[in-house]
Amino acid sequence: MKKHILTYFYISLSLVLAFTLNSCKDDNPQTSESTKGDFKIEFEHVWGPTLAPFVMNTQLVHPMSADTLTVNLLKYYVSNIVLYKADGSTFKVPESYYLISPEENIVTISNVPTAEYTRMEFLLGVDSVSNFSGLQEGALNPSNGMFWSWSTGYIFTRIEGKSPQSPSGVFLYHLGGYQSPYNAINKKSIAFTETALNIKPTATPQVHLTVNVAKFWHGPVKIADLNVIHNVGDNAVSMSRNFADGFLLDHVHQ
Amino acid sequence: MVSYLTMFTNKMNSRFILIGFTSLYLFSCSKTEIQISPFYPAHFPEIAYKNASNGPNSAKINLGRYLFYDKNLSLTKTVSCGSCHSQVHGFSDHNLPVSYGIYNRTGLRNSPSIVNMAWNTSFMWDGGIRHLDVMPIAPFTDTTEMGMSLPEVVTRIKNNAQYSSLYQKAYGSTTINETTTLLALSQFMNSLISSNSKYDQVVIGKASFTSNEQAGYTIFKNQCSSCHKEPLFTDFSFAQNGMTNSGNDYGRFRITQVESDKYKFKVPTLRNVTQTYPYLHNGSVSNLKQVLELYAHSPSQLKDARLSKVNLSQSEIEYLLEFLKTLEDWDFMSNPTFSDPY
Repeated sequence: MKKHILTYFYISLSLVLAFTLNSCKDDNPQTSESTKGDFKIEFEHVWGPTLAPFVMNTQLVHPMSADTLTVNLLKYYVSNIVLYKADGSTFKVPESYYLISPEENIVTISNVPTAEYTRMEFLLGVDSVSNFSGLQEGALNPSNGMFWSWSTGYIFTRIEGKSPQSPSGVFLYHLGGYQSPYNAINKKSIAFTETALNIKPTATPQVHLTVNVAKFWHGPVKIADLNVIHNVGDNAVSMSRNFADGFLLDHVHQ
Repeated sequence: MVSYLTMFTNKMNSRFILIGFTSLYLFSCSKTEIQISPFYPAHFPEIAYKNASNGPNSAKINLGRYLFYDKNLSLTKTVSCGSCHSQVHGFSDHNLPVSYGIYNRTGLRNSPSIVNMAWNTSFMWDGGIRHLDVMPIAPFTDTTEMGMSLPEVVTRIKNNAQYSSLYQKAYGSTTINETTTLLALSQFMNSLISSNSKYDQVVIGKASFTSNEQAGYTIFKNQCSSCHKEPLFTDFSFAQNGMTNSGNDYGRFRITQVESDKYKFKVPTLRNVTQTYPYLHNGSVSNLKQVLELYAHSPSQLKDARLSKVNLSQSEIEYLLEFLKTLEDWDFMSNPTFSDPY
């Protein structure tokens, strides 16, 4: 008899669970169109203190080290965008993960509540939790060449190219790491000092940032001394910080 | 009475899962996926696997099995997951110190057992992989193992007609991509549960140890179980085991780059340990007795603090070996639903 009692217990339990867990809820609450707007962020890649245009596959001379180099791959993650109003209240852009490169350098952020925003924060890299939460889609799809298969986590920034100063003729920097003491995630804060970011349904303003690629080798970092990084460590942390320093607001246009 | 209880428990498994899935089918919203609590062994702790949308599903497990044993998913079409993770060896390799991948290339480490994965908090000897759903990316893409890229794996699957019905049954659509593929492999690996050894039967009161096994079990609990914690026989920590012949393999240090992690490797489970020879991270010790003797007598300075307390006489080693044999689970190592379908 005990067998039957237990059986019914499990039947009831599973039915109750099924009902409880299945209660439908609307994942996408409809909000009035008139209270939302879009904006874009443009990442303009530049080179050196003159902010000269950065061109891929073209020989460049580093302004500090005088190393000559040619970049043939540059990709990096921008994530967790947060907008601040003057009163300190915030809007966190949900699921904001973007893989930026010179070829794909403009992102569109939609469904932002109408308001005047005075500051923007974002992470250069991928937040710690998303590094080890299993499979992800979109920008975080592990097929994008930005995922370490052998040491779970994302390559936040990947830059590769050639340089005669490199002992092997090439340089390859795969920068990542989300755990102490080698956390390579950098938070950037961009204040909209002159023109606020004014979100409204009728326009798509654009935040224009310059990204100074020469900053990777700021210090200067000599390619002859450091031409490969493919793991977490001090070099990845310092080069990531250098790169983060290269992000500046150019202007906001409405 | 004992066997009756076993039958009942086994029936209970399928009944519970069947009812669970029926209710899923009847009541689920189109948008929401739910997790069914699977019927894991009652004497095991809570699982560590976290993916609410990938609860156990027999069609996904079956798809995962076909993928696991498919040699076409390696560059040279010669190596499958099952090539280096053999069921009769508790899903470790066939007596090889290190495994052979494409073009007979070898790696640095001994293939670990794939068993009770749902309880693992990290994967690989160095714990570098932190989620089962992304674990297969490593062997698929490693140039000494299967030598592929994920998109290439997906293309090989799409080009094999048998898979469209397997994906259809598993996912209700024939969408073949990285995600559906990797999740099915997780399903299969999570289904590889070893919980029916003599040890387990003793724990649930269905059998009893011989006096020698009991003596070995007592020694085990005193000297081994702080690392090889029951009932999974690992605490998933990393430890220096005293073996100095690691060469350039720094173990956990490779992942963390923290000096104190040098030469640390993950404490392996001991389930089916008599069948997973040779032993240690590099397969350098050919039998279990030698492993115990090394732990009992090795003078190395690299030992984990817990290991340096191990003090075993020759007769205690013999008793321990008898106990370790009770961790053999032949139901697991002969279960046809885990076997090569090709």
